[in-house]
Amino acid sequence: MLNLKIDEKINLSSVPGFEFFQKELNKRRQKKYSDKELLRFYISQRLTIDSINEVANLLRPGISELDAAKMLDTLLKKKGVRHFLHHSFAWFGERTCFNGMVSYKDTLPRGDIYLREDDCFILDTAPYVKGVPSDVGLGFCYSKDIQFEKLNKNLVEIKKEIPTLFTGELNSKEIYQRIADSIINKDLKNVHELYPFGVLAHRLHHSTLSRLPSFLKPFSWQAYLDILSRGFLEETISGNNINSIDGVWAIEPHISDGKIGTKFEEIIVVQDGEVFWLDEYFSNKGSF
Amino acid sequence: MEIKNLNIFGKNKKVFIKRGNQGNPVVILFHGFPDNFFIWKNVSAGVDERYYQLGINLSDLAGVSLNEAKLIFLSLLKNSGLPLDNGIYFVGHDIGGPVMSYLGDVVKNDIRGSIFLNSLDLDSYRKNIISKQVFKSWYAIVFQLSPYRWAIKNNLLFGKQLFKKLANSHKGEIDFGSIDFYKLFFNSLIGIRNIPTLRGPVFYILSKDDPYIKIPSRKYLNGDITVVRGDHWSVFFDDSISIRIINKKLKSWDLDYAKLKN
Repeated sequence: MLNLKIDEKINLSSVPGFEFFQKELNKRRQKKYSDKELLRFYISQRLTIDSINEVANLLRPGISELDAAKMLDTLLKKKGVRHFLHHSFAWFGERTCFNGMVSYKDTLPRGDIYLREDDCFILDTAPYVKGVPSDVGLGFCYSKDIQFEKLNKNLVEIKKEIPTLFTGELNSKEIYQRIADSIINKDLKNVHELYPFGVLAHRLHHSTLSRLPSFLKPFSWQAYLDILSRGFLEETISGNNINSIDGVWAIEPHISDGKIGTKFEEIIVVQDGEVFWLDEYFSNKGSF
Repeated sequence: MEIKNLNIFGKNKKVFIKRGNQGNPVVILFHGFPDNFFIWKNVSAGVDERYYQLGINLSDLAGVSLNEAKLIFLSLLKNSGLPLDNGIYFVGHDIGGPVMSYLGDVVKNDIRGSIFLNSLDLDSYRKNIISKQVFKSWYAIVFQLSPYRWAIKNNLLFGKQLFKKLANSHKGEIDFGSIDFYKLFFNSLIGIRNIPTLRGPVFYILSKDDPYIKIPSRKYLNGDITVVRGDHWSVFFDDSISIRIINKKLKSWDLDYAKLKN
């Protein structure tokens, strides 16, 4: 997987019967989540957001991507995390736009890439908190940067657009295209297109297997098994048309202006015609 | 010398802080084994008052993974509220030297220079491993045994009494908390771990009669060296020449940095 070329597009749908099999498998394994269950996703996400912010706040110029990523993993473990959907990624400087990356191996945090004072950076991690995953990615800049602020403003606009796209009659392919168009209309580059299978969003599910030891990196075997057992591409919004857009989605638009990149990754819940950002939903609810 | 309590990931950690003059770098002091930051009392009083100072207890960073130690170290720096953007000087004694090499990785661009007092950086230790240094560091080999480390940390085996007999020139408090760093140190020396290198100039002040350090040849060191009279702990005496040498070195590095900046 890591040796795959970033610009290489793999069309799994061309395998006879694969699409049908995925759809059938996915239909049978969909789940509606109660508020109590969603609260556990919220707690997981909150812990991840706080940890990312804490580490981002500590980084000093000269630190390597590898150290930053390892420190984020370590902080999460200190807070009780035992396993990961995927371990932490850290991208500094131009690597926030995936510039110069050829294979997915190049996306791994590197020990020879150091943070500079004028660098922007992205931290992205996905721990299981008591069996409940969250996947959060956030962009930062070490010092004040006008270009980054401009880019972030665009990202905020995209974030505002997203719930309306899920509320309408659009299917997953159209949602993907609308977000891609929105990025291009802002004269920006769509970086998530370079993610494996061009994934913009993927579903999250509780996992009982998360208690078992995890030995693969950066993605755990639990992550592979979970997504494969639910029909792989049916669990993602990646430019394909899927059965249903209902679910607990980790959505991750990643944009760049060619020199710096930023992203956000947060949980959006689409269920029974309702669409809401999980963080806003529980923050507005107050005490629980 | 102001002792400050910092909340680091929910735990209380003590550091000592000395405020300097605005715009000047921070000198971070790494004590050795089996000391705590109180060993720096005389040195701290003698270091030019222009500099900010931060003394940390290595026991706060020991016994955890290196990544966690780095995380705690960065958090200590951040919470100390000291002006790190003015630059950092590292000063370390004994095992504090190798610890500086590990932690320097997370503040690479801030480091303007490192001074080793009766200590070497990891790279120099490794270059000198095939020498009499092995015999001088015999205790580091004994410290590889985890039951032994546990016993020492918990002051079994009459640790303190034994130590007082072996190192009768030691004065001040005894704290065995930093013993766990010897495991990491040993792994680095025998090549299990990659050796991190410190950025910036390096200077060694070594005592002629130190029973734990063999004075290496200059070609095996990464910087200049001065040999002073005395033994392992005499660099901490209030009339020690080392304090004057430290001040002189810091001043010359300040000038070099200013030249480079202009």
